[in-house]
Amino acid sequence: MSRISCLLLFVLCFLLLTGCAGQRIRFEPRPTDPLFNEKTEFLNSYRYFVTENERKNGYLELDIRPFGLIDNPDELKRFIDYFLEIRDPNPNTPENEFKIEKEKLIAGIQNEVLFAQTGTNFEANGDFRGDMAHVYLFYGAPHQIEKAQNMSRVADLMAWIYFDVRGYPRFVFVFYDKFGYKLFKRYEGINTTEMYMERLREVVKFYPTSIDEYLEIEREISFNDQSGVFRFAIIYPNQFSYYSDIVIEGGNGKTRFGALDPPEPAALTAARYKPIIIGQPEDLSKRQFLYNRFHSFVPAKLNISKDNRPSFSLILNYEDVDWEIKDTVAEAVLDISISFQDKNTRATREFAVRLPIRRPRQEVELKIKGVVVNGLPASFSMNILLDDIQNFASGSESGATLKNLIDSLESGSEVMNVYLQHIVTKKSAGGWREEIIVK
Amino acid sequence: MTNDKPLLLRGFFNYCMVTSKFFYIMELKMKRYMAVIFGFSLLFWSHSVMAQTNPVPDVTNWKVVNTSRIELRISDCASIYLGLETEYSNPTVPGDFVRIVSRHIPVTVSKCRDFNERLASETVAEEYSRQEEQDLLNERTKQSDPFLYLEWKTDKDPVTGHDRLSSDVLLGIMAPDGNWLVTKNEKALVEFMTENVGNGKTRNIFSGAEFRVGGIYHILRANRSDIIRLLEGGS
Repeated sequence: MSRISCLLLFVLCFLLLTGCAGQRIRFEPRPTDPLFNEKTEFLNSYRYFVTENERKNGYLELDIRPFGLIDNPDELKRFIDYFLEIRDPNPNTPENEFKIEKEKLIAGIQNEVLFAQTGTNFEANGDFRGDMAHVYLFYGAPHQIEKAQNMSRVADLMAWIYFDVRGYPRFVFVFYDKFGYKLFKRYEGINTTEMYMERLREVVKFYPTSIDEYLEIEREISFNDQSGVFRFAIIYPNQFSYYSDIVIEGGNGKTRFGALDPPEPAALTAARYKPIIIGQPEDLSKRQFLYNRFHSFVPAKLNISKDNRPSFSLILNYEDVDWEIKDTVAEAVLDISISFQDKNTRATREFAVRLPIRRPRQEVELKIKGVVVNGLPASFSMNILLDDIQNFASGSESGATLKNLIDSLESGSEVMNVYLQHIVTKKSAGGWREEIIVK
Repeated sequence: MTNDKPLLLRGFFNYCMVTSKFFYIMELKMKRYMAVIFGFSLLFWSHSVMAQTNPVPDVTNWKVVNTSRIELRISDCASIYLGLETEYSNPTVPGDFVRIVSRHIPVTVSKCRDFNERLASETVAEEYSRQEEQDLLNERTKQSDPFLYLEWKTDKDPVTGHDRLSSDVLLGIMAPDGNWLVTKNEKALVEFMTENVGNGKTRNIFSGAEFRVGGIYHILRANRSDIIRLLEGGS
């Protein structure tokens, strides 16, 4: 070995020994951990619910470190509080239903509530760390329990079956008793004889040495399996669930669900399926407005001439509009849309425009106060003539106006709908629907 | 484009303008008899009047009997909330009722999603969605504007023992120009409006509701482009 090779080997060994290969965060607390008792108590209940992200990153957004790195009670409390908060399935109630449900299950484990049905207890099978506790904490008591016991070659078997609302087995957890009940997890395919033999070896008491012994194991499982559940779980491939997109572990959250993977916190699931809410005003608290007296309404008057080809104007009082103050200018931007539907053919023609109205701020401030004429209060109004305004509705000809549109209408009755909305505050007019005659 | 001029308030005669259905038709067809009609209406105090001030009864401290939202379902999973209807009873005068219909900025909500119930809890997503939606609707409720009200009294029928109407039904509706028509014993009609959003094809969906009393109507409508955006997945 050359001198350089020796040097490289030495450096590599040194780096490995000093932990340069990457320090792993220790999730389970050591007895020397100052918060050993508190952490152990939390992990007994929620060990299997902590997600990979929570283990690795903690809650970055709240400046809470990963569980394993937390070394002060305040941070641990914040971790636990937030951990529980985001798992509350119903934020509309004051209770945290997740916590309540899990506390009941934890009490169930402590009180060994399944002993009568299973003939065994949690404590003897790993207690809170065991596979039975894992399944029970996730899904509670099984809907059905099957057992196959006292076989000569095969270990005692027990299946916990959970059905869905349609009555199909959603999960079938098979346990085998080899110095305590462990979960059978080899649900991968049995493409080769060796893979199949490995499956059988997992549930036997003695290592089989011949093909005949394997066949005997297979026969023993079948013979002692009244319901067929063990045969399907162990001898056939992928029989963990009736549904092919449910696996025992290793789901991906999109197309495959891992039954024993840490469940996604309810708040995160909900965030993925957030409702879409549109048409709301944005936060206007930092912008200056002179608002009208309504929360949602823009009073306005629509005038329609009774000529052969009707013409339109809109009358708005100054105090009825929301004005945004932009330095020395007051601005109101309105969306106006008008549709005409022929009563016979149902053909619809549309006019749409975004109309910015800008006035000197001083003028607006004065005019919204109104005046007194002959002892009576009066308002200042704007008369907006719509006929010569360009049409921006999709499909309209470039440069065409409302008048052009009306001129192009066939003679007859038209149902006209008018909509007016302030584009920033989202307040709208009462709307107009009129039948007009085009001659 | 605009022509600014002060608008005078309506005078006394205008204030007492007769707009009940019967007189409204008379006004249109027999203009020359208008003076007679005015006189008639003044004699018996007006059946219907136009008012600029808000005539909605003060129901502070009244008991809410029930509240329902004015909701248009535009698909299995998308809705538009336009306002709400609340019925109040007078806690000090039994049988005294007011129903107020209010509008708010339309809330257009879609909960359409490609949901795999085996991969996620639909119940959970639903509860959270409901909270977000409810919070917004509660906020909108606080910022709503009454535009229609009905006021009536009931008493017990001594024969049947059932509640019966014992007064006129007073109604008020706000016209698009912000003025109110106040009348009595008229029918308040509601008609839902549809709109074609098929972009050339026939696809009508609910987009609003028209409330009508006498000759006055008030329309609640969602923005057409919001509806189309919602149907296209909110993009």
